[in-house]
Amino acid sequence: MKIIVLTKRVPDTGTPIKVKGDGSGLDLSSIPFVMNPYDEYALEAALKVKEKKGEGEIVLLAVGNDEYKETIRHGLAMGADRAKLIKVENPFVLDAIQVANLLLEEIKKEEPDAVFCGKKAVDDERSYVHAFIAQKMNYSYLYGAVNIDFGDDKLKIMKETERGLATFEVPFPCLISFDKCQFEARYPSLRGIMAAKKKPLEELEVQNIPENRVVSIKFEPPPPKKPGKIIDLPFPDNVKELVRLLKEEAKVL
Amino acid sequence: MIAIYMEHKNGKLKKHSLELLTFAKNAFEGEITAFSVGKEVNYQESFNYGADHFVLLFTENENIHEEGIANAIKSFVKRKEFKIFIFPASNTGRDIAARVSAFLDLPLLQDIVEFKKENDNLLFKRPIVAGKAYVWEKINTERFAISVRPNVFPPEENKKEGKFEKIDVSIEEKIKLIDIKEKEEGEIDVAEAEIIVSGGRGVGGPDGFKPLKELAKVLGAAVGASRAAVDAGWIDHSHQVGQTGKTVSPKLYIACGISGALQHLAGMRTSKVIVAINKDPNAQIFEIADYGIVSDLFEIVPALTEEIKKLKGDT
Ligand SMILES: Cc1cc2nc3c(=O)[nH]c(=O)nc-3n(C[C@H](O)[C@H](O)[C@H](O)COP(=O)(O)OP(=O)(O)OC[C@H]3O[C@@H](n4cnc5c(N)ncnc54)[C@H](O)[C@@H]3O)c2cc1C
Ligand SMILES: Nc1ncnc2c1ncn2[C@@H]1O[C@H](COP(=O)(O)O)[C@@H](O)[C@H]1O
Repeated sequence: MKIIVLTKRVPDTGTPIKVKGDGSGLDLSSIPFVMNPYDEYALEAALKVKEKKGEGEIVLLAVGNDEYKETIRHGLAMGADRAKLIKVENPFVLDAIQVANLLLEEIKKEEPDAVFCGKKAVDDERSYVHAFIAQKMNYSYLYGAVNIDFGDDKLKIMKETERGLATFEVPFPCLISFDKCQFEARYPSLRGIMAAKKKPLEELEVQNIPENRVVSIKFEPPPPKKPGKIIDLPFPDNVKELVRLLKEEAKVL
Repeated sequence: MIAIYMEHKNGKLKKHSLELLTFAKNAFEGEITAFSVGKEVNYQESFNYGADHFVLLFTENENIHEEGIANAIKSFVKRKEFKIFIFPASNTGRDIAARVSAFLDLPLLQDIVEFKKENDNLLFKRPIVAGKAYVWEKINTERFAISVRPNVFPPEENKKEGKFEKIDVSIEEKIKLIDIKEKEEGEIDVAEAEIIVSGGRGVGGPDGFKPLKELAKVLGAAVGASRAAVDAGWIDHSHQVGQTGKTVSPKLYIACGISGALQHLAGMRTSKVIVAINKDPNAQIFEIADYGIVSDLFEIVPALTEEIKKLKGDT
């Protein structure tokens, strides 16, 4: 069984990220970068399937620059077997379809049983790359998995739906994008980190990329929030005042 | 022509889908065709909000996987006259938007919150990096797709004499539903709610959500939660708001016993009015709250429920 896991490198969104003064982009100079957290769940899920099956190969695939190698080593240290990095100088200027097309070329060559990835990249939040790949590969596609079970050569995937928590059987070949899961992604062990140094990381050059269809024009910080009111009255007047304000001032009741 | 995908629940068009009609009228020119997949839909409502056509992609199949829905849509959306495709940026709406856009090979922008015209260009704004920034983007092609964030563009009535069309479709899906744990009857989804009462570690345990649920009931609100409450197992993940939960923009968000971590704010900072109830005057949540009460939630929340009952009784 071969599973490709898409791995994007993203700024850690748990840290305060600011927009550059001229609106030309984000100021990421002192922000730590991590593997996209949803991709980490995808990799953990792939490792679980491989362990359950008792055999298999997990291949990391990314479109990125030299810095991506650090992220990929992290994935290899978690337990992936090998990696392919499609090298582009500036991954930030590519639109979702450009990225998806680059990934597609390698996916076609690898002919995996499944592709696992995140439901979105937490930096640019396009949430499109997965569906585009699934469509072009004609794979069954499930968006937003929260748990996975593998048995009798079948994938059972859990997902939150409008009606409730549902379990689906998804046939191979398939693409699964992962939401925040009911399990945690493992930390690389020291042995894993050592082993990762020797695992193959293939770097691929790109010849030409078709033109952008989406262009980022300007970045903005969130609108400033006007200072709020602390209702500093004794109980139960504070509650009465809150209800009055919600009704008369904010007009939301 | 503009094609708008509308979600419905038991045949009733959802409010976030009606919002798209108003959005489309303000942003673009051209006739609007609204469409849904299902057995019966109260399509007249779409004509009240500005649809010129409504197409029901008819199926008896009460299927719930998006693969089937997207497949049912595919042959219809191939119609050449459609230039712009709009979807609600709900959880399923985003999923379907991505599938349909990929099928049509169209650029897609998800979760639009604003638009503007600038030198003949249409620019769209959407949140990135967990709500810490926004980006304005331009699409270079004439045909494209977008999904629009719920609760951002209020629907305005715009009565039309719309035309109704029904097309039979078959649902094809390789993915099979094998089990479902149905939600409680009447439970409102946080992603769509207009009011959310949310609880964090401060509620202290599963029973601590009881007063919040009562408040939610009198308000017609959904119950939300912080990750701390979800991870503790007090409430399930479908209620989680934040970076790894749902992104919401209700008109009123009441945060009870939630400290206001960045990852939580990421999911709710665009709420129109935020109320914080927290014992700690230094809790970060007060920095973004419009109204705050520094006190014990177990005192405040039940009293608030009673006050609101009185208010609703009066009017
Ligand atoms: C990658 C990542 C993703 C994350 N994603 C999310 C996410 O999606 N959503 C999310 O919420 N968090 C998320 N978190 C976790 C987040 O960092 C915080 O840990 C979490 O939001 C804290 O939850 P809390 O406010 O309920 O708990 P706490 O921070 O413990 O706050 C509890 C608050 O309750 C108050 N309190 C206690 N008792 C009472 C009482 N009786 N009455 C009134 N107030 C009381 C306290 O003063 C305190 O302010 C994420 C973290 C990481 C690292
Ligand atoms: N440059 C990239 N390299 C590898 N995988 C990517 C890249 N961009 C996006 N992806 C994958 O596609 C998923 C959805 O990304 P997006 O559509 O950009 O939100 C991510 O969770 C990744 O798994």
